Amino acid sequence: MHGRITALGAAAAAAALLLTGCTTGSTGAAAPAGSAGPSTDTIRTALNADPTTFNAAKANAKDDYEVARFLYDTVVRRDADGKFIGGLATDWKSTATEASLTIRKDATCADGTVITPGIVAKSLSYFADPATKNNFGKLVFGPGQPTITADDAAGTVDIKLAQPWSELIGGLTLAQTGIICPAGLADLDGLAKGSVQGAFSGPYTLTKASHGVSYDMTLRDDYKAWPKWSQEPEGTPAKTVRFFPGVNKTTVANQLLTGEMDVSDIAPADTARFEGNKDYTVTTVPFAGIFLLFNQRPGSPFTDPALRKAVAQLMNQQAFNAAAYANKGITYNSIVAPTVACALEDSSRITKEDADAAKAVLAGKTFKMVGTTSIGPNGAGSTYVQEALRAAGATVDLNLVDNGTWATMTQTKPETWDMTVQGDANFVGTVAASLTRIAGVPTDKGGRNIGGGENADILADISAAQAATDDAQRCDAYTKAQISALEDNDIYPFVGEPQIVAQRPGFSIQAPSGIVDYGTLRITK
Amino acid sequence: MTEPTMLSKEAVILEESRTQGAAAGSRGTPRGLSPWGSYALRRAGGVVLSVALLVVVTFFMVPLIPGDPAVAVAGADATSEQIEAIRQNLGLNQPLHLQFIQYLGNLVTGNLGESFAYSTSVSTIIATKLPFTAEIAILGILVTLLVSIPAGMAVGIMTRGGRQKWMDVGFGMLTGFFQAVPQYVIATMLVVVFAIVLKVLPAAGAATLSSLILPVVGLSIAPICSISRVVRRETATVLEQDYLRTGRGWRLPALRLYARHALPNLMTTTLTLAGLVLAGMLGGAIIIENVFNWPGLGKEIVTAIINKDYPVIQGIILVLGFLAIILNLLVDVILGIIDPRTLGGGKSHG
Repeated sequence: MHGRITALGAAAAAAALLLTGCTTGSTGAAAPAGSAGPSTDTIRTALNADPTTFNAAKANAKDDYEVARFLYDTVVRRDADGKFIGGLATDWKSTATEASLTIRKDATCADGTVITPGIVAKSLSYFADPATKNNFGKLVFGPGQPTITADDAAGTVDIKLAQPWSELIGGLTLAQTGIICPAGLADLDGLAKGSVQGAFSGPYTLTKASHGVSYDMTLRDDYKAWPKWSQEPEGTPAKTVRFFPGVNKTTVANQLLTGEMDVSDIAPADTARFEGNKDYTVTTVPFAGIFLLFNQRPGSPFTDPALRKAVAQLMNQQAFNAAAYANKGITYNSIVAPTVACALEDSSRITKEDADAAKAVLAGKTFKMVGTTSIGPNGAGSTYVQEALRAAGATVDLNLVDNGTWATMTQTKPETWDMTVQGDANFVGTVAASLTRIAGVPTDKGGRNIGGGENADILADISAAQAATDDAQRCDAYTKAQISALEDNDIYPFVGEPQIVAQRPGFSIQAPSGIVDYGTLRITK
Repeated sequence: MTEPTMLSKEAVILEESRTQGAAAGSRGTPRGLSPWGSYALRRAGGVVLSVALLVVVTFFMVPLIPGDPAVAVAGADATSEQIEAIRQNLGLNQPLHLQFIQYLGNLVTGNLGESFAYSTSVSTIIATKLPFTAEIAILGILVTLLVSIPAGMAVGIMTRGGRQKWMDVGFGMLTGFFQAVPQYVIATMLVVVFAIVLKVLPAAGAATLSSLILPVVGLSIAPICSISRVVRRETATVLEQDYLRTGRGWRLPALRLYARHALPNLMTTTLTLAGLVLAGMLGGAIIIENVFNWPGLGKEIVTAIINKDYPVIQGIILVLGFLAIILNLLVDVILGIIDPRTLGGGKSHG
């Protein structure tokens, strides 16, 4: 009997050892804090989750476009001060209805294919094609289908827009517009899996992909097409960038402090662990605008402007910031971040707090609210709104759900909610991208408008801004639209959800125009 | 009458320990079948029934999760046409019974389907993640058994017959306390002490062999407390048995008495419990995997539920459920090898 038990124990131990070979590595203990990790040519960083695709044109989630920035080059980039600089294009000219890009001659795909204007045009056409089912095409090219042509002899790509859209060049800085080489477009399944090495036009190739474990990207030896920065980012690009997906943000903070991670997003509540620590650099930018959004479809109580105003009179940006983001949220003056071009410069247009006036209107009323648990710890942002209204004598039936359920309810089931705390990730960094959340075609009819009210005046202002021939004209129109949204209380802006990127000593990243550019990750020692 | 030799004494004790309840071995054996044959037949039927139930319940339970998978896959900026196209591509517009028939057909060929959210197959996801979960679970159960059995026996022996009452109370309090402390608190404390303050072990991840230590310890502490309490209680009961009294009366060496004669009679309960704990560790290491960023199936299923990734949820539940069924079967087979009286479905001594 003893022999049998010993044999069983030995078998279990052998199984565990075998599995150890399949999983963990065999190198020593953790690198101490302050060291450069396994080697100084590697940067270790975390992703929120596994990338859903390595096809840049279909990148819908933050992690998708984060990895796309390493694998694909865009025609235009943003400099440290937010100004446009050349990526694959050396020069460009644009009006509200068309643009012409001159493509550099020294850029190649990872399989050595020279990136010609024809390749660029094909990739952008694929991105703009409705059959690609891209969520960002309309934000880059505006409404309608653009015509994209190439002249290889002249070295240019011409884009003609269906309707005026003066923010085309800004849109072309998006990682989602990264140029996919012919090998990738010829094998879309492989492209999505990241297995077509020749698809990549950027500085890195995907050399290892282990779902849920790690992804390795390796710097191409032959890559020369770095953007023309006005000032080169300090340091050198890593030979290997290793991504760990799905890491809890507090765990990431632990790993940054113990030297197991080099650069990564952290949670607002963990910022205090890095404050006062001169070895670490913390960069904070607004990631998503957080605002109270009213359902203005027929049948919702908030078609009544007096009710919207009364709710807005109960709101307090600082209280929300404390409840949801440990006071680390970035104050908003409007529906977009202060870093976005043409954003309102002060908070004077936001409805002022007046609890007494609000109580008189709201007492005894009942509202349906849906909120996501991801805004504030366990949905503290929505709970704040519920409590503020409860204090005024109103009842809020709050349905706190996960992100996917929340998206289903707000976008496709408008009868289930009267108001919500909206998180709006404005990837293109334009006023129009956020204003179309409350104006135009409603989501349940195929548009982007979650609030559901038509708001024709705002739509007219957006059109005027897109047709503008200079920045001043565009900003005038956008200013008018933002004031209209705030005065009508279509939304109440709270704060910007902070994206807080902590960098260990020896590593850096830049955030031009308040948008983190993962392509600027560098080893600085 | 000559005094028996040491070897013949032990033979008598072993015989005594086996004869209790020996009649149970033949109970319930169908005519013409050996105990193992009858046992195999009975258990095979049970396994088939359990797997069938698992497949049906898993398939029909998962779509009850609130939210639309197509919306989750499409992302925040998708239009309703895009969402509808995705729903069509994923086959979600088909009636549920047709989806089930297709699911069964795929299962027969070993195909668990394609992930809704990721450009990869469910089999690949499970094949990548299962070794990580199995690794900490198997090491966890080994550590648990290696610590809890000697500890429980030692306390049981030292407190036998009401001796050293303080130790009995102290042991009960200590194990009760660690059993009650939530796993995430223990895991967090381990990180704080060994990774952040002492900096001797990694805080998280699976990059090095030393990364295994904290997750395995975090996973094992509560089961060690549970099993050592059971072993301590079982030891006390076994030590009161006649054959052990006889052994003590014949002054057998303590180590041989306890290891050879007491331990096997503890194993039935301990291994049964260990099988359940191991199945629980495989399916329930979610908290440990999250705290230590251990890339196992627990983390994967949470992400899949958030993404409404039905095929991944169904695949993981199916694999873990199947493993639990197989583990229970394995434990019963092992018990049958250790103590053939259990084959008849009767209760062995101990």
